[in-house]
Amino acid sequence: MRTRLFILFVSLTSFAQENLNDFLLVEKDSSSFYMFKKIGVEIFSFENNKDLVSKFVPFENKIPKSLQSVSFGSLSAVTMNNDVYFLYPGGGILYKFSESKLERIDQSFAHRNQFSGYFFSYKNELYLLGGYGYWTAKSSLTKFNFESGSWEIIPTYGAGPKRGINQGSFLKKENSIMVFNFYGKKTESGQDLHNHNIFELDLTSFKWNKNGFLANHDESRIERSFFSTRINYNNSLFEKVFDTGTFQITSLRDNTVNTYSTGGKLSKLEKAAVFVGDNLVYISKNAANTNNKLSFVNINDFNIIESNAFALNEKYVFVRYLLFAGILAFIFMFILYGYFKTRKKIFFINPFSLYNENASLLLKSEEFLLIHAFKKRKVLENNLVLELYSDKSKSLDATIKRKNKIIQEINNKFKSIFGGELVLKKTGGEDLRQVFYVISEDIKLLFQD
Amino acid sequence: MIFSNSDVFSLFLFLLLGATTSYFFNKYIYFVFSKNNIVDPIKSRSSHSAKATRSGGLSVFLSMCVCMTVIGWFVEVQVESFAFAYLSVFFMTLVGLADDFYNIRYREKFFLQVFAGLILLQAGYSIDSFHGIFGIYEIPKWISSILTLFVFLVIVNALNLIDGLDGLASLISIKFLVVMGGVVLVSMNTMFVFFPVLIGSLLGFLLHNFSSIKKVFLGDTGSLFIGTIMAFFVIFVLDSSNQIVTDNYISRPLFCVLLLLYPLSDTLRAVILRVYRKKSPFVADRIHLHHRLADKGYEHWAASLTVFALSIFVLSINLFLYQYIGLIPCIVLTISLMLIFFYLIFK
Repeated sequence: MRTRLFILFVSLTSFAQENLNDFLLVEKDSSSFYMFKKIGVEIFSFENNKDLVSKFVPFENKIPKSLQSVSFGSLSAVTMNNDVYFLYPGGGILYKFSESKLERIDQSFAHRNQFSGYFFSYKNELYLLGGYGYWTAKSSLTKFNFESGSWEIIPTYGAGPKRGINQGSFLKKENSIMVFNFYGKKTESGQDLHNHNIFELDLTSFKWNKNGFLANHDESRIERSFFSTRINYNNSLFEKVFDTGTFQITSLRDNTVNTYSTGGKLSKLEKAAVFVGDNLVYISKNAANTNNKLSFVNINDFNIIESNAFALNEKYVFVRYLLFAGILAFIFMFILYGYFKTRKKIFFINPFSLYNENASLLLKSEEFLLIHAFKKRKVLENNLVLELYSDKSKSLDATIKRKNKIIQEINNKFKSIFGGELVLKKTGGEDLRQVFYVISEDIKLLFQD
Repeated sequence: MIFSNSDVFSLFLFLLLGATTSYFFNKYIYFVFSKNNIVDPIKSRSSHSAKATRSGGLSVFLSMCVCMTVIGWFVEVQVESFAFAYLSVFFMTLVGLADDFYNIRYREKFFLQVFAGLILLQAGYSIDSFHGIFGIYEIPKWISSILTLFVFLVIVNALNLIDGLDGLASLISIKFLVVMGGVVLVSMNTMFVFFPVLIGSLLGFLLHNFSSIKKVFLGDTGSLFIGTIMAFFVIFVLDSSNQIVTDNYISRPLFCVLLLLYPLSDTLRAVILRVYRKKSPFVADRIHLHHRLADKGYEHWAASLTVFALSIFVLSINLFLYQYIGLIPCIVLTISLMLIFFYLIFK
């Protein structure tokens, strides 16, 4: 009797603590979801948005052989026309769950070419976008052909992410897919590069467009993405990195990234999670016995602690920058022009020539004598200039004429080569008859003798 | 850095830091060079008439190194991805320095430039597409490598060739760096900090370059240093795997040509004229467009500023009109404008 009771106890406790180790959660509709296991599917429904009720439906057939050795949690799932499709890790093999049967429907093989790609449905077709395989990140789009049972590459064009999409975030809009916060791979070095641009793939024309870039992004390592849970929620994207106290919800419509505090909850949230209405359903680990347990929280119960812009319009930033730079360039040119126009023109003097960087003027000895006199004095009175050319054998009148001729000649030569006048004749002071000579104000002479 | 008000403040701060550091480096190195009589000799082709040193490039390079080290303490600067590019720039700077001191023969310099180009290819950037020019997009890897190397050599030498008037190479480089800075700001903004610093360093250098008494030239160090940087960014833009904001405004090859319009057109014209006159295309002479301006009586600053303003005008008008008229009309417009400017100003 004691043995029978012991067996009953063990069997009861083992049933109560069923260990959820291999399962996949898939949204069914706004109030129910599937939990797929190897033996069947459990359909959960929310009653009054508070309590979960479930019904277990065993598979009518034996699960396909290729699925037996693969974890259910590693599959990607999509619901289309009330059927659920499962994609093998890396792409290729496809299963369909319909009317309590789980069957393999492809004629393909395990491609292993698009791990972490985005599996989605559009207009009754199944697609797989991007991913990683065979040491390269892919940006290719493949579509499942239901007639042939194989996957076909759909050519895309436009400004797409050429270095591939690995560990990306995806958001499906009505006729397009938004792709952001992903890593490309440099084929030469194998380095994972974070791509902070935001791309949109138009599903009607298969054209890529670049729609700005992430306003706030860290150049974090790709490993961070491996530990993040990303789930589509109400046309937004929920994202939480494992073992952190916050999560983000990215809304393209509002162009915001709201950060929420988890308040100690969701600390062990793993990739196996699904949104059913506003409820986030996930599997939590029991700290005492490490068993898994189905849990759910209402996302509206969390408080926003930070709100940031999601995307920046790069065209706006670029145009703003160019206008700013253009104004600065204009000011710079204006200042430069003003400075050089008001700056004294510099000429170098040696006993034989007067020159600058463009041209030179040959000087006669008497011309040099005149200019050299300005080395020590800025103003030369007429009698001082006359003294330079005085000759006792000649009259004063002849000396005056000689002086005037020399000044006129040097000014003429200077004007023909450089423009303007070099030596100016001035009158002034108390005696208006007093004549003196100066070098033109905009000229600076540098003597090299 | 995404161009908010605080970013504008940082931008000015970096610009000022670069300019100040460069100004004092130029002053100090001019003094050292002059003291050791390492001055540029005045020859028949020389544009200077007073004592001048070829120390500008070295000063700008050292300013960059110092400023980036200081800024690196406060701002995240992406280094790892561009290790080979830095190596190439450093290598060419050393080649330029050696050329300034010992006059390397052009054949040897050419092979050293090819080597620097090969290092740059190792950075993983290459011109892998014609971007629709002649209806061609993707090109085979081997053509891509040859084309990348060719473009690198052309740009590096073009900048070297226009370094014949005070301020010209610096102003053309500043124009390139200002516009390219905008592209980098929105596509790879951890590299953006580099631009205000280099522009500031060139402004600091310009104060000495425009001086009539204590004149400093960029020298081969400077033209090869800046030329390599410019070549790298042109290759970066022409690498189809990089997303570039200007794709919304203008064709990438046209954009690159417009950024380097004066160096490229002047070099092409000089080579054609030399070949037509049965001279070596590498021989030094005074047939460059800027020499024509100087010979017409333009002062150096006026000639440089004229070229600077005209090239900005052509770039702006193309950026504005490309969306409305497309590639071919833009090319026709650019060539027409160049011919008009040639007949009105340069001829």
